[in-house]
Amino acid sequence: MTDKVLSGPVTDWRLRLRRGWRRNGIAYFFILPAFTFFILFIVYPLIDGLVLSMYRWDGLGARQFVGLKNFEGLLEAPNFYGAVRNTVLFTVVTTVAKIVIGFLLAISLHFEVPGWKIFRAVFYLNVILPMTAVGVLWSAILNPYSGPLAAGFGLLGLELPSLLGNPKLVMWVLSLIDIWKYCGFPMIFLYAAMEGIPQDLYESAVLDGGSQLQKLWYVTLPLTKPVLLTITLLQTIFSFQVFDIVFTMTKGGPGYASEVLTHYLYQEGFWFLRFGSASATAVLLLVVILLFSTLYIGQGGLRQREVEF
Amino acid sequence: MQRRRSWVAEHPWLAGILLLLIIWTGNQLVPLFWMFSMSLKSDMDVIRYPLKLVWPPQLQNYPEAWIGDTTGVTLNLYFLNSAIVVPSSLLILVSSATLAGYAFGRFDFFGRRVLFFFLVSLIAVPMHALIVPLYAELRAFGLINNFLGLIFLYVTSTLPFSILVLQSYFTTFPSELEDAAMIDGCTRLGTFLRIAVPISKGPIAAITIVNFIGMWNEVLLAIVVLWENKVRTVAPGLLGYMAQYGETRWGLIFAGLTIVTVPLIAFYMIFHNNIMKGATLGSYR
Repeated sequence: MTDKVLSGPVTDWRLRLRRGWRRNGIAYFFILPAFTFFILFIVYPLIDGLVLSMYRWDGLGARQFVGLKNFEGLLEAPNFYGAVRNTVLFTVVTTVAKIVIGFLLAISLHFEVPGWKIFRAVFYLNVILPMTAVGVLWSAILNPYSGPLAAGFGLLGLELPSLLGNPKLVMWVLSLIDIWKYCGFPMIFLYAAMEGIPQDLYESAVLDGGSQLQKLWYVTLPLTKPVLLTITLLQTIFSFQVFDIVFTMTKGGPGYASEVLTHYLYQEGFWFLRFGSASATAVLLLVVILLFSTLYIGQGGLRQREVEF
Repeated sequence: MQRRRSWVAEHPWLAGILLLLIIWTGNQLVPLFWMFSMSLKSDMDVIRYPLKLVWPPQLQNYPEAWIGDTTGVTLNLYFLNSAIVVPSSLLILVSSATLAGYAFGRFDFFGRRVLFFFLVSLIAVPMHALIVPLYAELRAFGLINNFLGLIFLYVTSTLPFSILVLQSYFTTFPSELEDAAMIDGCTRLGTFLRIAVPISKGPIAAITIVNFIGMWNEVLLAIVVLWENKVRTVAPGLLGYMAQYGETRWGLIFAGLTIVTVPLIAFYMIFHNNIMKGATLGSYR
């Protein structure tokens, strides 16, 4: 019996496994803590969230199966449509504006005028501050009764309209504040990309009699294109999940004029205790983010984020 | 030196660029300076003179904002809570990420490719879309309003990308030192602790610093897991001022904002180089 098992290709396979285990088996212990976290706090809630989206649940009693009713309910809810529209608007406006401004800032820095390192540091400063603090600060600045902007308008004999209280303007105002805070983020990516362009490419452009604008158009732009694509996708992923600024400044108001998807999800779940409907929203959010993340990873975004240490 | 001086003279448009940079600096910094100057006024003076500095500066807003006896917004407690949650998360993050990154970078174990693909696909899953099932799960574990609950979520959300950074570091870093240690009879674990951890100080520092900022500023997971006032963290905690006083106690609010932002600005100035280098590593921002 034993002889048979120990001979032939089976033995070889077993031997290799055993040798491999002795040499590399400890790797499983090395990845164990990380994968425990993944199973417990990503994989399990992901599955539970998909299941929950087909149930009615207030978080306490029994779960009640309702099939696709939660999704139908979302389509009928007027606020949900507004949340989708606002989220898309916010994502498009802030992504485009941040990248355009970030690109212009990166180019301006790339001329390395005296003190450019200090400028670069200042331009990134607001990115690292908490959105809650920035949001409260801007609420104070825009306050139509006691803010500095209102006082400035008053000096000119004008009256500052309520910007955050205007349903037509509120989403644009939030977008502007988000752009103000985060435009340093794409700037850093793009500056790093421009730094990586070999100097002799510029020199040969000068030899060919190219102007500054032509250098920009024929050298800088094409060579930063891959990073431009990466940062656009990354920025889209971030902006689509917008929550902090809405939660801080408007809570989705006035009415539902600044409702966005993540905030809608939070309210459905933790304010109205409609966990099923909240999970259905989460599934839709998840699908969109997964789509853009897959594009981002497939496009080589992770490789471009590697840094030299 | 001489070339430098003639620089702007040769390219006059550089002066225009410089001007643009200065204007943008003003745009970014003026609101922060205004916030700081308002914190030095009484609540009444903020409303009466929103564009003027009041002399002498009033400091009474600061102790009240910090201690919060009368306000119910206990900023000092929120700082303590954040100072428990964030470093603990970073410690667990760095140790489990280094172990896993080392395993993926150095070992050729069975199932490595499949597990690695799984890891990369986790980067695509946004934690914020999972708050409802996560809340139900943490409540079942008794981890709501418990620091451990938020720590676990912060570790999990930052792990996939951190592992990837360390994996690629170990893949490109030559393994000669480790081979030598093992020939000398060092065990796998011993080699990891004595050689691999010290040589990966660079990426570990970058991961720590960047995720420190991300975790310190995080709001959504924090309000879902730690919603009671006594366990609240700094970023969502400071919203208590607005909830409590709305538009009356501006001096107090600005003092609170200054207390929250100044340490972060100081942190940014100290670790400026690491942050610039690692800016692209954060999984939040």
